[in-house]
Amino acid sequence: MTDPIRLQVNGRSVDVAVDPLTPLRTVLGELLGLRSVRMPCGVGACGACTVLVDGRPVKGCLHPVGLAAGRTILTAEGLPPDDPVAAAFAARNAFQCGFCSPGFVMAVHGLLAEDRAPDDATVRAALTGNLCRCGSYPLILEAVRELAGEGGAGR
Amino acid sequence: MTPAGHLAGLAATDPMVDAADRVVGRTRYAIDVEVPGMAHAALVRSPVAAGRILAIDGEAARAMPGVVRVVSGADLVAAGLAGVRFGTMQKDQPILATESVRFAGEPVAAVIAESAVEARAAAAAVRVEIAETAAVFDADAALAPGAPLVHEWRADNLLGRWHAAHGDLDAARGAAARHFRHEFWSPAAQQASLEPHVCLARWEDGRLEAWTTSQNPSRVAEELARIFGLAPGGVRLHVPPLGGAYGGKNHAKHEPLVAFLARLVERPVRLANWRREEFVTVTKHPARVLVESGIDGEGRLLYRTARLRWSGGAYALSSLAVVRAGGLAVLGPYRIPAAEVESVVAYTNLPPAGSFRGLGVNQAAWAGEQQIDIIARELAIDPVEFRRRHLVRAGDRLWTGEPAGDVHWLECLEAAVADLDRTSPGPRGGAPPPPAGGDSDAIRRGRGVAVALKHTITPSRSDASVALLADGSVEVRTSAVDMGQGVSTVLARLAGRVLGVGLERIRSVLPDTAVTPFDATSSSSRATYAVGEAVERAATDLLVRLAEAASAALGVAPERLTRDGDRLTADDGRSIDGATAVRAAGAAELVGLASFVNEPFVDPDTGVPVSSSHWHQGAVAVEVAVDVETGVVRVERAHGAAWAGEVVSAAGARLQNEGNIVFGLGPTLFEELAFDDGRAHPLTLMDYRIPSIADLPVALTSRALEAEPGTHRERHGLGESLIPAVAPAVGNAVAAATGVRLTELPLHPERVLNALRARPVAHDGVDSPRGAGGRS
Repeated sequence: MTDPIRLQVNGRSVDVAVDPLTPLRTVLGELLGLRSVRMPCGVGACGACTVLVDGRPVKGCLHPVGLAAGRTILTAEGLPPDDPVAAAFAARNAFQCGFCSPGFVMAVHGLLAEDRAPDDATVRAALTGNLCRCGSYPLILEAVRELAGEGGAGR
Repeated sequence: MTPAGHLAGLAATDPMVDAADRVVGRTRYAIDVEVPGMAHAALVRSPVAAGRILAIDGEAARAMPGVVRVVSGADLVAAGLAGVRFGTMQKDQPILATESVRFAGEPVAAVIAESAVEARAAAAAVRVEIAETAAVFDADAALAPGAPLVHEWRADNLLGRWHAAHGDLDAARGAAARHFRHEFWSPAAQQASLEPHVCLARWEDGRLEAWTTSQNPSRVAEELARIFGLAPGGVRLHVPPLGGAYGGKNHAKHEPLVAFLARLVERPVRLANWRREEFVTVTKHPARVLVESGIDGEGRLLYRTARLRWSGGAYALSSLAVVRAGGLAVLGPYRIPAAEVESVVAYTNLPPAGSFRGLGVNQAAWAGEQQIDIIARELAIDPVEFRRRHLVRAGDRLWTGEPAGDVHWLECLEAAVADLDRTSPGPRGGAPPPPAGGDSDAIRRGRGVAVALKHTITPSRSDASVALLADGSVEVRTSAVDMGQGVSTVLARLAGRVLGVGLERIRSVLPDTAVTPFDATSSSSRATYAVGEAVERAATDLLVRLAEAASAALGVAPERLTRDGDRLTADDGRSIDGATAVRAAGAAELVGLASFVNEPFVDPDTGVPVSSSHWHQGAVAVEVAVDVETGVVRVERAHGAAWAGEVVSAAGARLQNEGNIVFGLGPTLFEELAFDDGRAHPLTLMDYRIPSIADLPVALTSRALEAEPGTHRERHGLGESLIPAVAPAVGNAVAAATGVRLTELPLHPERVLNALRARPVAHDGVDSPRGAGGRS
């Protein structure tokens, strides 16, 4: 067996004894029970497994857990209760079935960390890897515009 | 960043009941349910489309780590269940293939193991020997004499036929000045819910309990009781919120098998499809549609006929509803003096085709609504104007001869077209303007419209109960499935409105057949309409129970009480609130019960039977940009209007309407499930592309049109009112932009480019939907 891999997940230190090539999503969603990290496609197409590794969005189904060793991982479970991105998605009703929503919320966090006031084209480019089969994109775009507007207002 | 105060205000005005949980993944779907002692199943599937099973060798698999049992048809035989067939409309599907396989991907064996990973690994080690036999993959081929038989008991492969005719067709044909005849093709597609099909079953004391991803828990529970010889109460089915369904989760799928597996190994068993398995579990019907129309010298439609051929795959699922829905819709909501439709679905050796958002109307409208455009262009009439002249209005009859009823297609069409004009202002009747910065020379722009009619399932039944609990909270109990359409919000609001109780005190209970009453199905865009009506009636009944309880508690006759919300006040000034009244009655809760049934009826004025208790009505107007060098079609603007009657949740209505358009872009532009010797491909979401935010039109709006307040406002569901109009509106716009008419879906670049090369783009004389000059 390989040496345990130490991860910082949602503010807690966790050791997992798995092959370093194990997808991060398998570790988070199945071993650690973080159910917001879903895996509808398993091939990096849908983004429902998006989590932040050191603040950058990665697709958990493709990202080997070994690459996350020692790094800080944030899933939707680790967001504070007053998380502004989640609040904007909820307030705008930017979801339908919700299966994809945590992945979108984390992807938007990644985007806003890079660009606090993205224009529509930037938002579209950043979220192209997250799929919503219900087709809630117009309201998702509105939610992100609102957050971007706040970023643009100088906060 | 900090939460924005104005967002909280917005949420308060139009909240979805469980928004806060959904957006951060606290919602628990079927795949999240775990029970003690649970084992996991994986399926072994047929590699060939048709054949006889010679041997299933599970020896190697049995020796693998974690394997509990390898199960095949022999186990069904031993259990006396090999002859069982299930299916809501046609009992034709076996629990597991025992002798014959009928499509590539059909389950022939299952492996049960301690973990899903171990079950998968062992399933791959099961050796299957099948003697391949002749197969048939196309509806016309399947219906031809001498075709290989999909089911030995169905000598002509005929799965279902729907036919209707009205008027004097021969006379109309003779009188017509011009005739039009066009054939259109829609390929298979896949519903592609992000959540796959999942079922978990366990047995206790001879009773079955299951958690499953089903759009119709009541029917699936009935089916399981029948298969396993249980009393109706012997099956308890839970349906957690679905991570998308779009018709795909209609009707029983793996439930009978998983229940069988759990009984066999005397342990709870869960089966969750892998993504690749979704593509062979249920599909959209491939359809070939021939439409003929005739017009008189004044440009009036004299007749329309259609011949629809659907490939149903190996098992029926909802095929019988699809042939009827498509057949009713194909000729459009127009005044047509003489008409005839024959719609036939054949068994084929393909994965079962089932409900797909739009239920066959998509394939029908792709044909009928493009031909309307062709006719209008041939006559040099604006296609919007041509539709205006022919759309049924109040008092008119549909092509079937039945009264059209409460009709609003004209309003929908005008609203959609006006919205397109608003976002893309140009001279009326002229070319849409290029965006700021202009277009490249390769871009051609065009506009297109289409309308859609879709029936709602008739007859059907929904029961509901609304309970006031001793803590003053209210539970709305129905078997309506929450699949992202917002039904929990809608039902809670309707109950709250009747009771005068705030949403914070109301909870919509998820389907649990031990607790929630019967509901026919969460499909056909019927939940808001049918279950909503049942909930309103149940809430009204609860008010009667509450008045009785308050009357007894206060010792005054019910007629001496006045009500404010759930507080009742006697004429002597004493009052009692709902919670206190429940406790005073010595009860845990007071319950109101009611049903809603929509039944087929005969129109009293004409004596003609009516096909649907009401019609879903919608119109879509789009603007496309076609790159004639690459063949890429971009839908830049899309505007829809659907008849809602009354909107219960503005946010929910918008999400449903816009979701219709966005979802509809997939099968229009790139979704196609192809078959190679019956083997489906592609099988991943990397290759089977569904719309992303990059495909979102730059302008997208929708309207949910309501009746005047104070009038009778029958609510219509909005789940499918616009989707059938999306593909033909885009097809019409592409024709307006390029002069090339595409009759086959999807409009992917290769197909568009080939069509453009076969017929070079005209540089003038191309009509827009509004008249001349629709191309820039």
